[in-house]
Amino acid sequence: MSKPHTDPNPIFNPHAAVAGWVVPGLGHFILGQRKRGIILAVAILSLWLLGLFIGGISVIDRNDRTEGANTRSWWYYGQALIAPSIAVEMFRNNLKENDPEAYEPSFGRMAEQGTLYTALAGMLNLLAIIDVLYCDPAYRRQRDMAKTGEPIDLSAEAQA
Amino acid sequence: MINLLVGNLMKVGAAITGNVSPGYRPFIDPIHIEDYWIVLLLPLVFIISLTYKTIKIDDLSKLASQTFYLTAQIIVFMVLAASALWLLGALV
Repeated sequence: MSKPHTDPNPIFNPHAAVAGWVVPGLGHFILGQRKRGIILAVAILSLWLLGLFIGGISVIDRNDRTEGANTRSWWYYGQALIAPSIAVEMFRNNLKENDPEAYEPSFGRMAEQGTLYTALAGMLNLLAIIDVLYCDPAYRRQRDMAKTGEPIDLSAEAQA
Repeated sequence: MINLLVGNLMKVGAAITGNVSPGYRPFIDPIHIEDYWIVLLLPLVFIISLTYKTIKIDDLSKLASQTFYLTAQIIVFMVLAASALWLLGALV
């Protein structure tokens, strides 16, 4: 992402983008940028889980029209940039259908913070998805190694 | 500054353990730390910086220093912006 337009042979990686949407960082991981992928996974999933921990399951709600928060559904589109949010939303819907008081809804600051955390995690994941969608990891690695002075093994890159 | 930060983190910990309902289930029910929400901005800023720098920089050996530098920059500018707005509100 740092210099996408200067890559000599950019590669379109839709499979990595989908993988990155399902599990943050997985797109980088399968393209061979394993350390980067692991750091992204830990960072983005931590933010997402912290949001759920703070605000509870009710912060991911596509159809929230309560408490005058009729704009919260827009946050859902940001949250859905991480696929597990969709699973959480379905789980929350199931809980609510079976028992309307199955969970304690969050209000005020906790709802704000939980929503902000989960939606920002989704938007940060969008950055990671764009990074793997249209890049040449071999080129980036080559550039990294040129800077650090390490030998460049292009055969290993081709295998990755 | 560090004492204030540690003190606030301890209050958040106490709030998490002390202000939960008897049937509290983590990740299902919210925690009640309304009074300390401002402290929650710190991990948010740190993780935003970490993710941005992980994607942005080529050499990951500089990740820690770059992340802390960006985190500090964001916090300083937030404090400056808040101070300016407070000053504006007090004067006008």
